[in-house]
Amino acid sequence: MSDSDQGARVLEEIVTASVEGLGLAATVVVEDGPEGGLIARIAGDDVDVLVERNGEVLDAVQSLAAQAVRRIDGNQRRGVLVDANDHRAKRADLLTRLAIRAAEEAVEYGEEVELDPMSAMDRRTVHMALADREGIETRSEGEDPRRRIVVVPADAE
Amino acid sequence: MNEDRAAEMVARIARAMVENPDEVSASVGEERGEPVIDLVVAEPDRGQVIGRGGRGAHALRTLLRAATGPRSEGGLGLHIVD
Repeated sequence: MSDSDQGARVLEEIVTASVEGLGLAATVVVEDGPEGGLIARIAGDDVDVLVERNGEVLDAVQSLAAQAVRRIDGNQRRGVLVDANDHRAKRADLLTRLAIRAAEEAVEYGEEVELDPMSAMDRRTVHMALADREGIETRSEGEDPRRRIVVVPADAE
Repeated sequence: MNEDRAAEMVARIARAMVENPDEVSASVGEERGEPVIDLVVAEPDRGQVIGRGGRGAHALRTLLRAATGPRSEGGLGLHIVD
């Protein structure tokens, strides 16, 4: 990430404006993210408002920042992540463990295992966590906000 | 005080999203008797702020609720001025 990276500057400005607008005593650092994308990390003692209700506010900030970076990048299309006190990383770990347990159960009993409804971002994490796993497949069923993942044993299809 | 801070937040975010940041302003106003942030952006930038399927406007409203409380308790809504 270079100083002349306008996308990174716009990301930092939107996240900083949000943090200050919410009156939070937190710091914002923008770094190179996974797969050539950008990540803004918020760190502080009182970031609860960002992560409660499944990170609804964090998702709002990320969506605004992604929209702004997309305008600057044109066709380049970098991924944009906004995280607070590693909330997303911890949630991804939790979802991955949940996904693996469901996959083990599906194989052991030879039956479909239905997970609780999740956001599109969480469903993506679960699909990715099980993408290379043998013996099971994943699919989504239902409509938002009740859309959920079903883990299916491969031989049941 | 909180309201002015919310207006400044919305203006800064909108400026970072558009082609014409100098034409962005935000102030506390009223819509149908309810308190709102009136956000002014240049006509060609409106779509950029509102976003596909209204996602940008929805995200700004989510931020405003987090900053000023739910609308049922006097929190600020968002009105994009045309």
